[in-house]
Amino acid sequence: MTFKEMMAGVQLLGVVAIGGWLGWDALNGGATGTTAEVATKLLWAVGGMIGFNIFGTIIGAILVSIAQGAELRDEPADERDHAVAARSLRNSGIATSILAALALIPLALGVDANLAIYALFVAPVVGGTINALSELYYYRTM
Amino acid sequence: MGKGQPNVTNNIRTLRFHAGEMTQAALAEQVGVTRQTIVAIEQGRYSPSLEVAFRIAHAFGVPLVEVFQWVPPGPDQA
Repeated sequence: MTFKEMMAGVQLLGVVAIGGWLGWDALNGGATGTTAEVATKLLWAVGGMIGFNIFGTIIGAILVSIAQGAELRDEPADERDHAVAARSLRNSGIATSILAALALIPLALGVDANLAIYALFVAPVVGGTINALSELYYYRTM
Repeated sequence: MGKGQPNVTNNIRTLRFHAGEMTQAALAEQVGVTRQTIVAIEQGRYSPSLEVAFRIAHAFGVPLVEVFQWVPPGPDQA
């Protein structure tokens, strides 16, 4: 496993962890509230993802280094890394754009405007998830 | 890279063997790419840029055609 693949894996775990927390919170009535309350909660979720990625990367690098018996270090990106990143970003951009556009439909139908706050959060998170999944896929197939 | 099965083959594994069992890591360092990229090229999963292809040939001291070969697509692939 390379450092870049490990980072993509950590990013996916972060989405699962924070998404799980938000889902659990929503099931317990946390999805309602004023726009400011919802936005504050999602800001904490963004902070949680950043923190998870930082500590997850450090811990993941240590664990993978122990498992592989050699220090896991990030290498300078080469042309294949750039090609993988470009394809993954393309997939991510498409997913983010579609989700953001689709979020306008329920808003146009008069659904609670708080949905827009969730869309602001979910669309880029899904985009990031697609990016991480695409990287893991392309690193194994090209 | 085109779609479908790649038509570019290579002799990198053989050339590494004849170069004193040169490691993938050593070749990667000479060429200036990661070892994973050399692995992907050697397995035919990734077709390198022309510049990297020339660098690989230079690392072995052979012409490009001794490293990479292109097989014209069959009628069903054209």
